[in-house]
Amino acid sequence: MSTATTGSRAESAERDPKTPAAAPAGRRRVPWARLPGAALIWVFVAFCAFTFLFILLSSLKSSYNVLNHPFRLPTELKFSNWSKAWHDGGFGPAFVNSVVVVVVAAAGTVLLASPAAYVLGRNQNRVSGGVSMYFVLGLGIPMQIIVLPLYSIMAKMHLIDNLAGLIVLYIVVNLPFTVYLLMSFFASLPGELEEAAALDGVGPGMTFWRIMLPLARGGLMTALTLVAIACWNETFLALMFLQTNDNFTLPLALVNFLTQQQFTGEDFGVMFAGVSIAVLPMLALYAWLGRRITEGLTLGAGK
Amino acid sequence: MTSATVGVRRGRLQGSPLARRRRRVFGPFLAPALILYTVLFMVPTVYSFYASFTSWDGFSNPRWKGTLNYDHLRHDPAFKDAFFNTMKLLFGCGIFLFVLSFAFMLMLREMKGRKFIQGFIFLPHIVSGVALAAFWDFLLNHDGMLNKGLHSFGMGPVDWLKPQWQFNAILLAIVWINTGYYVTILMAGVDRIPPYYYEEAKLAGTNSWQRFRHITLPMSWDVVGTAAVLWTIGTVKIFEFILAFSGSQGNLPTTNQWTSAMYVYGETIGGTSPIYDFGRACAGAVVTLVAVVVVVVVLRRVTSRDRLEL
Amino acid sequence: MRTSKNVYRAGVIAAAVAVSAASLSACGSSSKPGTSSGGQASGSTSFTYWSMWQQNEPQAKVIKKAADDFTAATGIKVSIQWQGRDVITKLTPTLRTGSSADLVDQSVNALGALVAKDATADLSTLYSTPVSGESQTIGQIIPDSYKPFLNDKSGKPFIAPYEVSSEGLWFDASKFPDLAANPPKTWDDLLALFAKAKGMSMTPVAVPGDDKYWVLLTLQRELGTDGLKKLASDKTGAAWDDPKVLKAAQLVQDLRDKGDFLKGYESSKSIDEEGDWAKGQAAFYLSGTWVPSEAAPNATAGFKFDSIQLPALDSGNTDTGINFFGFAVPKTAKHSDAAEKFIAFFMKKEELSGISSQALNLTPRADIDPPAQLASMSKALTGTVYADQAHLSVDYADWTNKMLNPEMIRLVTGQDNAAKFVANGKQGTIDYWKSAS
Repeated sequence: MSTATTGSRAESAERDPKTPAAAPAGRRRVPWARLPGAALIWVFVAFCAFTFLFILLSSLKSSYNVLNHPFRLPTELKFSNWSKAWHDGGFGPAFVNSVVVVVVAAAGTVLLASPAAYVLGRNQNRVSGGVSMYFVLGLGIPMQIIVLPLYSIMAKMHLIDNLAGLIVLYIVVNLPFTVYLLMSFFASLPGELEEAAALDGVGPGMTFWRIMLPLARGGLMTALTLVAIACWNETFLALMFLQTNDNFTLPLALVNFLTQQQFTGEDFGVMFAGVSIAVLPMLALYAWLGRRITEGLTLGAGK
Repeated sequence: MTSATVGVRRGRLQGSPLARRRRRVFGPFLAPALILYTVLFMVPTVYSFYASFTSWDGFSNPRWKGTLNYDHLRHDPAFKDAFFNTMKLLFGCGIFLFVLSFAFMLMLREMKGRKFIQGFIFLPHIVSGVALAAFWDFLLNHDGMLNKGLHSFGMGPVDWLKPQWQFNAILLAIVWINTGYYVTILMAGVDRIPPYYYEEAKLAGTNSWQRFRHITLPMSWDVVGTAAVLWTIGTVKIFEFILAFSGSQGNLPTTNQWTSAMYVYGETIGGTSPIYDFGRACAGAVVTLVAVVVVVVVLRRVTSRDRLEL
Repeated sequence: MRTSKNVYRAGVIAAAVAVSAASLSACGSSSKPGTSSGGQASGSTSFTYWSMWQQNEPQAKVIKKAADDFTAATGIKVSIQWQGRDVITKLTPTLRTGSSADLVDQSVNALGALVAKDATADLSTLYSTPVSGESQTIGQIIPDSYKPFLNDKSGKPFIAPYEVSSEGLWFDASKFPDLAANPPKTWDDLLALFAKAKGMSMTPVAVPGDDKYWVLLTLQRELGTDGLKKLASDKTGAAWDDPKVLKAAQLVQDLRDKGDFLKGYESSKSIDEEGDWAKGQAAFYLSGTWVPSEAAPNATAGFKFDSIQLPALDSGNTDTGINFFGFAVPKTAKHSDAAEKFIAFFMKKEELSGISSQALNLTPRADIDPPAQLASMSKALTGTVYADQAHLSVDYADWTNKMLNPEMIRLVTGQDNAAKFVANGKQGTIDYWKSAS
């Protein structure tokens, strides 16, 4: 029997690197037959790491060196690139706006989505099935198609050109995905605790707030982080709904900064400094909460 | 969308006091999200659906014109490009992305430092499309990094972004951006397979290919299905990266780089001299969306049938 | 199975939503863009200006200074929002709900779509208003030859131009000192010039992979301006059968086949090619009046910007294309009076000359000297002018975007030869008119 296993490994090596033998129990050393696959992964990882290192390092180089010696480490550290980008791009106020929008929108989305996801995930009937589908439908509708009618509605509610309006929009556009993600989460929680609470006479609202919500903490953190990332990078709605420069968010500032760079003779060092300003906060957030994302997605998508 | 097993367990509770209490909060818990979503998402969507049967410039009142917009789409070269490119994204990019993600996921499970690696390949997903587009262009353009690198080996330069290849460069970038995300989701499904399945199978003398074919694949099929649906629906929305990467100085990308979302933008308000044909743009979006829904339904059929074979 | 049932249920909900959407459509009709006319406002103490520039661009600095001077002189506050080139895109949704902008600016071509939809105010009154502190009216300081391009279909002006632009073949006058005085008269002269550049070990031409100027301008020279329009408007596509179309396309193909274009141009964008040209890698670059100001930071030491026009071809037409950047007032503007006062203020010599001296661009005023880099261009514009790109991008925007531009790119980048370009153009035009709304 053991010979068969050995034979198969050689066989699978011939097939191609992706042919797997997933055995989570017996994790062993990478057999050399799988080296091509492992090498591919490491190349991929290296490329991702390189992207960020490159952007960050280039932001400290002169334009000439970025262009002509892209792979060299910076010889001098031009921190002036950063201050120039910061001033020319108007990143200061945009940064504050983005933080406000992202924090409130992410919290708001989760706050609205979790009770809905809870009742949808834990009630299995025709209505909840239909409503779930109704939310999922929203995943496939591009913003460009609804922006004009949406604008008319938002204008009637006086939500144009202010951060409150943008926050409302971000909550709305992130609802479908968040409800979808959290629904599976709540569905996967054990029912016993809920039953026990009901027997103890705890009201359904309290049961949700005190028992189910803390249990779904992992999912909530995942949702929070993913929504925060999506909002931080969102450009189109911000472009259409923010009109006063003082209200601009970071992605708008970045787009404007990049075009401005093109029209006034590009300095690549300064350009990458601008890109870094937009990217770094998300890198920090990811370093802090990144594991949550991967764990949470893992749980949420499993259902 | 939740799996059937949950439904069965829940069915048992249907008549219990708990279920009744839960039903009481059903309305209040759902209402805020549902109302907001309906008013600000679905109402505009339905309005746009209505607009697809009208002639509408976006600011004056729509005029009814029946299915004429849909008829015209058939002759619209830009729509053909956009539709074809969206399908290329959906299937071409999708198959490549899923094979790669699945392979990475399986290999990662056997590698040391798996969390660390997973963290790194997720990275592109957290960066804005605009920033990634700037990097991607800097990497691939004629004087770009890749050619500089090739040059130091005495090779190249290669015209990576020539018009015939440019959309492929976009496809490649989209695979790069999304791989980490889908590896993570797929990992979920496979991590849930109870280890004793594999142990028993090994005792029965199966080889690794057989275990993959008869355990890993069918048991993770469900999550592959979910991920495939997410991907399919998501392709309709891919926009920012393409606009930032292929457009320049306020101009839109040429129509052979358009995708569904870009078509809507280009046909309405995008570019330096906008076309303002909202009626046709909406019709285009409806057609694409219908195609995507068909794919989703087929995908769900296929993934659920295979699961039954288990 | 469950999916389809759910789809059905979602359909029921959607029907409910449809009812509310219907009410939205009723709401939408309450605000008609035509009803609130700009001219009625009076005595405004402030207005909002949405600018096509970014705040650090030279034009922005000139306008900002003028706005400060204006506020000091009149007490009217100017709220400037730098929106960038997407300004018209951003303006669109506001046209339905009442605009937040009282003043916008863009090129004639970019504003054209709005004008066609009757969304900009008639500036006739403004044109007969004197420029602040001067005796001449705005209409009088704008040369008469420009006027036809500043009017809408009913002959009313919709734009107050502050910057004039055109296209030319740019070069470094320190390398070709006599060229501006003796431009090539025929296409053969032009080819001889390119050969000379090769002799000086330079690639003759820098051209972006998505270039439109070479094909468009060669077609214009070959067919004349009206001929260009005919290509778009002839629904039978027969206009494409004119052998001159093939000839023009062949001229461009020959340049390409001879290797006159900078290596790797197929994948480059205009900003890259412009930079490479300014660094001396190529001798000539066909593009607009913005080139000197945009390319200057990348230019080699001693670079002297100058330009010539393309030589005449079979039609004998040597007109110069002209485009304008200028102010327009949305019809929905609430403070149009203040906006128009600002236009009259900005058009005075003292303020407007900044566009020439600081932003290195041409102004419509004959009494403002052009920057040295644009002297040749300015002279060309005193001759007969025609609407830039024959106004195709406005009058036939859809056809230009979907049909002409992609085909021109295929020709320039060598995916198609000249014959294929003509065949595709003909078929594409026929198809286009079949699908035109």
